Amino acid sequence: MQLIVNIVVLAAIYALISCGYVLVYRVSHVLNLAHGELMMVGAYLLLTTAWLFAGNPIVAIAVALGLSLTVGVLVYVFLMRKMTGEMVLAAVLTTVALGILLRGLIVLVWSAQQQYPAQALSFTNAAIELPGGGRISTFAGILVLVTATTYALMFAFLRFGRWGVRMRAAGQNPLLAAQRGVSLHAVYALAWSLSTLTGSMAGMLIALDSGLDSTMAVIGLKAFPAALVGGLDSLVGALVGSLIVAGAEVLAIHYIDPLLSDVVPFLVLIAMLAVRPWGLFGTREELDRV
Amino acid sequence: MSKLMPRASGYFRTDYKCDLALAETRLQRVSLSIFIVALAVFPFFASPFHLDIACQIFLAAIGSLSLMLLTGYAGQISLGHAGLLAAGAFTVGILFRETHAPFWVTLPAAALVGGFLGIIFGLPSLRLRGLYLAISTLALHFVVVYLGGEYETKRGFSTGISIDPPQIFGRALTSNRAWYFILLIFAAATLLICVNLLRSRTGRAWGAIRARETVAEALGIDVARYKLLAFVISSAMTAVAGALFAYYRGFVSVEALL
Repeated sequence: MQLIVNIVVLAAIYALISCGYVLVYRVSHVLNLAHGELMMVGAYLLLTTAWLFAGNPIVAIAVALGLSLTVGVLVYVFLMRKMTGEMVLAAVLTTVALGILLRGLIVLVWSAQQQYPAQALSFTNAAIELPGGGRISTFAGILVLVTATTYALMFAFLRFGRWGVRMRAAGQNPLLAAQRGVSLHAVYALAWSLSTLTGSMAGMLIALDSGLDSTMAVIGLKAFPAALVGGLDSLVGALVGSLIVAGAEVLAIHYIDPLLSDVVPFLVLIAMLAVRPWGLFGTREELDRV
Repeated sequence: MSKLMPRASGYFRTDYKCDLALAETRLQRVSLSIFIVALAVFPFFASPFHLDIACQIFLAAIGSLSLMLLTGYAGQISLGHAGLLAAGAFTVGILFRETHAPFWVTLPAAALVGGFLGIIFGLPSLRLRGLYLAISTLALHFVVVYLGGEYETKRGFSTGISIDPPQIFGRALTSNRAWYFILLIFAAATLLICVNLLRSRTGRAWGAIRARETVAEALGIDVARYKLLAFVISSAMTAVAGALFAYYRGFVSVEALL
């Protein structure tokens, strides 16, 4: 039972992070390898607002969410905007550079030591007994709920929302979308900000649950196999992929070796790439050449 | 060989000797020799800090030359070269810790390990292209780093493996100046190897594969073989760079190489 709870929690973490990968990839066909770092920035923003508004956790969280939304827009406006229309690989390498830069900046600004935003906000993280004998920490439970809500909203938004339709259109055929009056830059900026927002929410909740230090980016990178296993341009795929990767990881940790946790997602990724590179639910695309 | 050769237009290499020459015009020859002399006397004037920077430049040069071969000429993207660097460093660290092997054993061993990993890194390239290939090399990078970390924790070197400076002619190689020359020689050798590879049959095959794979195959180039060859050569070079890095720093750890 505990095993299942662990899998669900980990899958929720991966799903919440990987929907950021999926959003950006689906809309602009750019793979954002700085997503883990952006997520970490979100978590550290929460830490800062927690210091600023120590008495008001709600305000702190709201301000941090707003700031991380802004970070996403800024990243697009000042960096990725220049890469629109360039080679996809150039854009991907730009995000790699951005990730390294952010990692350095975070250590400079917030230092590398372990931090506990939950303490700064004076939250307690009690364990909740679940029917059936499992235990789950409060924030892990909230994380599962947030993930479910995020995905429900995201599906509704992409399906029915005016901007959601525009985003899908831009992803399918940018030229045609632009000719029909869709502002590509606005759509891309929206995708980046939403992706950073969801990533930051994941980062904040993980930080509230288990503390925060500069190795958090690794979690973000581990969520990437989840996105790819499901198919980089499919939200359903991201959910399923997260379940698969999280399942494999938790089982490997439980039955084989705890150290495997960092490598299992990538082994799954390699296996997937060998069999079906475009993922379980992804559209099979003409793999572009270098 | 004394005739002057204008390079701006046309192809003037009329005999085999011209084709072999590394520097064709007088200007090139003069500037090349000035550069070599400058490199040779630099360590006698530079401060230790500048020497350290120069050594790191040489190490980075070896690594980037190997990546240039693979990505620039053969057109195969790799995001996993940091993992190969780590593999080279760990080969040295492990061999040194377990068997106290001297450096003339560990360096070739690192190259061998690198070459072998190159085959593994290269296998996805037979099926995948572009972005997806880059991702698969990134994944392998994590696998390699994990294996290194596993060794560290299992053997109890959780903070990293320290390595004694290599012995050459019975003397420990510790001074920055000696390191400068060693690394200079390695970097220059790498450069020569790359230049010569690229104007050989292999280099032309890589260029053809990068330009258009189907056409390359139609021209009779064994695409799979040359792709793997590019990965093997590039990975072996990177691993040697990693091994040299390990000796230069005297220390190997997962964290330092991420």
